[in-house]
Amino acid sequence: MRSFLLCMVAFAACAAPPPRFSFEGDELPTNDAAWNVRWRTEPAEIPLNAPFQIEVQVLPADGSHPPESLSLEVDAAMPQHRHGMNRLPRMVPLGDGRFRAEGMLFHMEGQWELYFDVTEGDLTERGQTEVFLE
Amino acid sequence: MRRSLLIPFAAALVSLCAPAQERLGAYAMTIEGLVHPTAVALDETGDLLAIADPLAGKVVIQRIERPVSLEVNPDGSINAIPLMDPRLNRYPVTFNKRSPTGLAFSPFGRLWITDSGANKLCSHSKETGGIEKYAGNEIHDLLHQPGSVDASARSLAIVEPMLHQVLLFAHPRNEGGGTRFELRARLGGRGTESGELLFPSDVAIAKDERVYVCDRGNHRIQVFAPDGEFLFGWGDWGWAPGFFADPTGVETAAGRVYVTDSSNHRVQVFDLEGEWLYEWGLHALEPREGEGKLHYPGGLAVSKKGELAAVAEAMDDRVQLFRLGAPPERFSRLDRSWQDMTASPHLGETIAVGGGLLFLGEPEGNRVKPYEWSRYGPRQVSELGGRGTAHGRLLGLTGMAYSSADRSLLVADPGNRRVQLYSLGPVDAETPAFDLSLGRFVKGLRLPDSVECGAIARHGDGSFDLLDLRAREIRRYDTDWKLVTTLGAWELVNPIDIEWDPVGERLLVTDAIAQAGWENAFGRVLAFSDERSGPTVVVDELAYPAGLGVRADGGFYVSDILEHRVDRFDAGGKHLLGWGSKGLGRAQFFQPRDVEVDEEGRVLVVDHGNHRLMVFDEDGAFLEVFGPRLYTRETRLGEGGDR
Repeated sequence: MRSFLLCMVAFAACAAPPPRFSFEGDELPTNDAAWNVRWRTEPAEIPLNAPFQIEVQVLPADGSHPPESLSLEVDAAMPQHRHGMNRLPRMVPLGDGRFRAEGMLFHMEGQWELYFDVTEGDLTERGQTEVFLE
Repeated sequence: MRRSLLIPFAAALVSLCAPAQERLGAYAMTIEGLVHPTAVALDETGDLLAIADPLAGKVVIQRIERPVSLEVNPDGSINAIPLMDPRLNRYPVTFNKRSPTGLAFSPFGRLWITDSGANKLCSHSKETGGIEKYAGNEIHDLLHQPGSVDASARSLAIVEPMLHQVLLFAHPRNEGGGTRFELRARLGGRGTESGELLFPSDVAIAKDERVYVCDRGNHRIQVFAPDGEFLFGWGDWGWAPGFFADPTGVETAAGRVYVTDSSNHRVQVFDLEGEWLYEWGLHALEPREGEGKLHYPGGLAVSKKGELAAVAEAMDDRVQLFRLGAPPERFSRLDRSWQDMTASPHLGETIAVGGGLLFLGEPEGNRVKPYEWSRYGPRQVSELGGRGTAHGRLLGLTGMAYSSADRSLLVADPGNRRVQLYSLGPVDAETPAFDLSLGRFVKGLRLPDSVECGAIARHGDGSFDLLDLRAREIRRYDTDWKLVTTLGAWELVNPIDIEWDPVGERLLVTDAIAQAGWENAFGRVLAFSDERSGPTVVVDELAYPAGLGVRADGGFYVSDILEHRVDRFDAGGKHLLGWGSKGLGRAQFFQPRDVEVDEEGRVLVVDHGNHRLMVFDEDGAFLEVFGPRLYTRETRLGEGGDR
């Protein structure tokens, strides 16, 4: 009976579906391709000089489940202006590799870079994308 | 005018004028003929000046003769006019120690000396003339790589930069035929919060026994009670009065706090509570320019009466003396050139090269500047890092290694205790454009708390080696950036640079001091070929080897800080040729550091003391120079030291 149960557990583990993104959004690989990051903003259109938030989901690129110890930092900068945001967003972990960055604010029009810094253990890897705010 | 009004007016006038006369900072003279003076100390009377010259392996003690003029007051009393132009003669004490790093005269006339090479504390008494080494004393179990030191009648403080601490002892006393060092407190610990320290560089014990610590990595001064409790601090990174850029020395005297503000090229003066009073110094722009102008001032000593100051400038081989006098030039120029993005960069100690790109480390701005230089002179194409703790930013820069295969740059970030990888986008070699989005931060590795990173070397497969300056060993990481092994523990004494040799599949290391404790220690190049066995000596008996550049055939070049030269060796360590002497000419250097060899076999040498990059062919023939005009003019004109 015990071996049957173990087999069932093993089968269940093998048959577990690969992790999937739980929402629609833009997707990008991190810069060394260890993670895939999906993100969307609330409101959908980033406002000028007003707070907004970003929902993020991080999944390992190898298809495994996101580790519980995974952490995420979200930041943004305008490289051509040599500055970032005027505030530090608050990160809210939602479980299963999902996070919400609250308190984002783009105070200027122009080319922004959004950074998703994924940390697992001692390693941090960045995913990034460009956002143009008019 | 009523007398009651006149008196305050006169007092105000006097208060405006008097401090000018009392101010320290008027240039007196320069002591030359030194190699790399890093620390100075004045005795209680201000008659003896001790200078630590670690690259020369020496501490020199000199007597300062100061003629005292006498003036008769109207009431018949006699005032001694304090120090005028001091004249120096050599006090006959010179002794050899490898890497003397800290000096302090106690009020009892004993000179305390720390030696970071041998991890020791010793002292010298002018009465006996000998050196007391405290062999077997338990204090040496407490010391790691001791830096600066200060002594009062009741305390002895020793800075441990790599431990980010200051060890505070009760003043040593003789007991039972030995000397007893009683540890009273450990100040600091690595960090940026109040009471924490980051690479502290100097300590001063005030008359009331409060301990002033020069918290170099945090660009501030912090003050502790005699029991180790944090009291207060001031300063931050910047150029305005009261701010610092790499403060290096601190001294208390006559109710004031003096700070050498190294990268701002000045000395700032505060009261004991941290209130800014004044500053002196003007950035030396011409090579070796002095006579009051300062160039990365380091160690500092002020006589107890606040009438004489000695400022060590290791970058210019000298110590300058300043005395009381006319108000120093108030430099309202507010030199922010090191923060100006467009200014000609100072050259750090490390570079990287490959794929037509050249990477210069700019220490003041904590930046890496990539240049395209495959066809014409170097043209800056982007910028990486910038001061900060966020991912991708830097607090210092001790090593760089570039891989042209995947256009990525690995950087050692000591202040944040991490290794970071950046990638570079394509660059048009014909018409390169400056683009701040060209480079991007890829990933970073946080290092353990016990590691202080130095040079870095990459292998072809993406694995890498990192020099740990605290443990004096090499940490080897695999392609997944997992620690595989450590190399060289107990065998390296003062490792400076590491470089991977893909031909010999070995790691080459320059170790500036081969054997701790040897009176005539020398530097060498070691090779680690096998993770299971120790290193082999490839080159021996070098004066002070620093940078290492490996050729495509496994041969290599080594720069020597002490000899101001570069030597070429074959893969077996046989000396083939060498060039260089001290100066600004085409085949001359001033304390050269990193060496790199590009894909075309050109040899790039960081001529650190001259703020310039020198490029040679494989046999040492001069090709080009890159750097500030004042330091490269002579070379461009083809003067001096031609090969």
